[in-house]
Amino acid sequence: MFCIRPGARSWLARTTLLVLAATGAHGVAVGSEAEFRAVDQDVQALKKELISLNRELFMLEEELLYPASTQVSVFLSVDVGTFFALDSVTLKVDDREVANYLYTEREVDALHRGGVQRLYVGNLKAGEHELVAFFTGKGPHERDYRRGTSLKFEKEVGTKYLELRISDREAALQPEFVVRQWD
Amino acid sequence: MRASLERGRAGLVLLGSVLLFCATGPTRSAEPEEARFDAALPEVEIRDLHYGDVLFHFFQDDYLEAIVRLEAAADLGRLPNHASEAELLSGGLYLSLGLHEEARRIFDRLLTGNVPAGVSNRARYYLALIGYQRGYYDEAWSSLQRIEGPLPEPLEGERRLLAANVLMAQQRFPAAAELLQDWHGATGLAAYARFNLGVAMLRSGATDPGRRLLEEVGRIPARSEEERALRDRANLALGFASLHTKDATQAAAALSRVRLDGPFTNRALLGLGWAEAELNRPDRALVPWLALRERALIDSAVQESYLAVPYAYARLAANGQAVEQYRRAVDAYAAESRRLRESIAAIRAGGFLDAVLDGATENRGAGWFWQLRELPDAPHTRYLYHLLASHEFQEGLKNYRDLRTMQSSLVRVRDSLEAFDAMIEARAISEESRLRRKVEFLGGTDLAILAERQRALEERVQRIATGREVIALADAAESRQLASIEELSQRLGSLPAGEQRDALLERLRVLRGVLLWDLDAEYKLRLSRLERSLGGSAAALVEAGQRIDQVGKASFTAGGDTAAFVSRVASLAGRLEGLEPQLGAAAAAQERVLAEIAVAELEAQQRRLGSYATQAQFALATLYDGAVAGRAY
Amino acid sequence: MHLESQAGRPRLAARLHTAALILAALAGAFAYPLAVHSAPAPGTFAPDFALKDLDGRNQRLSEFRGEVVVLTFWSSGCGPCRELLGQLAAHSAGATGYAPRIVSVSLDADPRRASSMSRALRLDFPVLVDTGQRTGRQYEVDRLPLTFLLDREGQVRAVWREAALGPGFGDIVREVSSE
Repeated sequence: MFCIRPGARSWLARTTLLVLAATGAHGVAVGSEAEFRAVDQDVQALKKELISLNRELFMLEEELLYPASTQVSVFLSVDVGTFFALDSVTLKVDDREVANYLYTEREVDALHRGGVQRLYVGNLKAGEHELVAFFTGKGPHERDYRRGTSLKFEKEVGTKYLELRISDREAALQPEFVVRQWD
Repeated sequence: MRASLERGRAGLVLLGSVLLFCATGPTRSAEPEEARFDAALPEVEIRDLHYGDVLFHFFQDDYLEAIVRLEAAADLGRLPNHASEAELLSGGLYLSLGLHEEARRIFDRLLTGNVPAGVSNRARYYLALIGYQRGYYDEAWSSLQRIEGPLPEPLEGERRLLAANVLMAQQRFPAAAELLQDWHGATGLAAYARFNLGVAMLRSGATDPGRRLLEEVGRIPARSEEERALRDRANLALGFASLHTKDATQAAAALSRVRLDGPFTNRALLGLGWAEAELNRPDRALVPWLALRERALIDSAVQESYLAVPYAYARLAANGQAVEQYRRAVDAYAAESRRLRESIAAIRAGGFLDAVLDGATENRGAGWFWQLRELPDAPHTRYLYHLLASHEFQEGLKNYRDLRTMQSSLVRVRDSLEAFDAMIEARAISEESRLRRKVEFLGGTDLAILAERQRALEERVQRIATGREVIALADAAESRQLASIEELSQRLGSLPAGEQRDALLERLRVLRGVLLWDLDAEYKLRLSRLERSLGGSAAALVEAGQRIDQVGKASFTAGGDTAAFVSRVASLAGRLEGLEPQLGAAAAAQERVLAEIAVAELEAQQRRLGSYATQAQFALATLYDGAVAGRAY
Repeated sequence: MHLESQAGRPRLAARLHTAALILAALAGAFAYPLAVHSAPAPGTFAPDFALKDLDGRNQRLSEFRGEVVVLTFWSSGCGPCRELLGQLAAHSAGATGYAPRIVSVSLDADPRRASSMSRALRLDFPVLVDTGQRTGRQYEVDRLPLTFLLDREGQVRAVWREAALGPGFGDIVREVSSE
């Protein structure tokens, strides 16, 4: 009767040795390596061009719609120590509603990590204007919050930056609006 | 007998040598799925609102939006307080978008400038990461060496892990083992660190500690798919290492811990069978091998099981079964080889990359640290599973994926440009009409009439002045009085002469005289007042004239503004048009390169199948020989 | 005769603030021709919006970018909407490979009605409630149901105004998904 002897063991040993000795990455044949690099370079250059195009578009749009002399930008930031989930923010300028934003989980998370949202960009004539803002959200223990603030500000010729900051630093555990004007 | 044994042995050696294809996986170092760049960002207080805006998008993984805003803000000088952080962030963003060369340039540039240590350390870390990913291990190592002092957690843990990976890539296993020995880092990375250490130790000869570590990783409570896969890898590596040292019992134990529905199942089943065979239990070896043979033949472990099964039968002296199973193997290999041929043709024909990407549900919009983990079960792409381990393949695939995304994003760019054209036109029209109304209001024609009237008045006043016409400067009341006096005088004059009449006439004459006297007294004052007033209106006319000129000029420059905008949009549109064909060409070129890699892989698989088929033939021949030589079946 | 004093001065208006007026003209009066005031048709980009879902979570359309989206408007009083939602639910549960992301917007003024409809039909995709019909107006929804297919860039690729989706639906979803 034919039987394959366990001289088979030696080959087993040999092969597993090969197994463990083999390094991982499946190499690419030399010829196509050069082509691979060339394509990779091309792709990077194209991405760079696309980014550059998008940047130009972004700046052009701002110049067209909101020239520096009349631009007003309102930013929103959050600085809350305890858990506070922002739900929405409403913004009025000179009694006209200009923004009504609902915040998703992703956006709230980005704000909590220090991101600042450019909530509103618009144009205003030089002179005095009024800004009114409300926010709603859920605080600790599922408590609902609704707070507001108003600010009268002077618009000169030149971009005006305003920051609405939801903060609970002043009154602990109570999120409030704090408004800052930037040059 | 000897000849047949030798042939048998030779055949089985060949058989075994292809085992190497199955098990190359677990002995590579492991990396966690997503390297998060934002762990590397220094904690900083936002002092420029626009920097915060960039971060808002970055934290939502919107890398393209983030880099666009970052660069725009930097161009417009809106980030004066965050110069070095912004550069670091832009380097990281470029890296996340796959522009590793640009990232490298930025990090290099950062290092030559005057930047805080925290920032430069991070730049060095990312240069090292880029080097490692691209295979420039020496560069990666030297970047790591230049990091001064420990980084803040969790980055420090990642750095040590990276350093260990680099060392292992450089085959410096004892050093890697040493580095990972006291590794403390994020719990998520702990398992990877231990796995890599285990492998490093095995490779550097510290078998026992290495095995212990792999055993440990092989028993972690796995809460995610990632951790479960890592656990499987550890058990698989342990199993094969044990087979190598003939520790069949431990091998079997380790391999039995591998899941039956994971990416490493097939190899584990194969190894389990070998462990049983090693322990002289070919009947028990048949259990995993038969199960394995039921699985999809594209997997090389499965292919090998077609040989392993008859081998087991032969060892059990069931030669009849052995012959039948070897025949079945030959048929299966032939069929598979045919399918491979078809796939090679299909891949050469193009379009396979789209099929590959379609299967991956989370491939779109993913960053550069993404890797394709699974292939869809589409006909020709199933063979490419081995390529998932290839760095070049993954990079090429990402490039291709990004090119396709870029192509579709051009629609939005084109849309924006059209919108801008419309905006500029509307703006120009609105401006023009507004200016026209302004000019009309200012009375281009009115002005001429006014000027004429002004001149007439001036002439008149001149005459009054020359002739000292005091009466001309009488006001309404005075004029009325003079007129009355005149009229009365005339009427009285026409009456017959008499004392009453004369007395009245005399009185009228006196009144007139008084009036004239007053007018004369007022003359100078009134004249100068009149002249002043005329001077005022003259000045106003001049001013109005100047303003009309200004408006004219403004409308000219407003036209110029529009022209500037129009030309900017035109230039962007031109760039857009140029971009499109280039994207298409690059995608085609990338597909070609990847197709070549894929075809090479399939051809390798064909060769393997061929050698398996040869082994089956050898074994059959051996068995027939045995039969011919008088042995009973 | 008397003199006409201050001849023509009101017309000249010495207080012409021409320069300021020009500035104002330049600054304040851009027309925004692309303000979306028409129902999105194939080839245009679907306007972004955010609404609360039935669990009270805010969801934003643009966060689905990268996926093929079926956006459908309905209300609980609309019979054909029921049918459509049923079809969509079947499609999402049974589809393999080319399952688009389904996002539905209920125009019910009372979210409880949307909620009970969702439960009754066992909908497993998000139901956003547009109680103020603001989004409905944004999309110029005149009849229900109204369904849009959006590609990965957020561009509208097809519009359906019937309850029955028909076989062409699967085909076009597949086509757009494989881009």
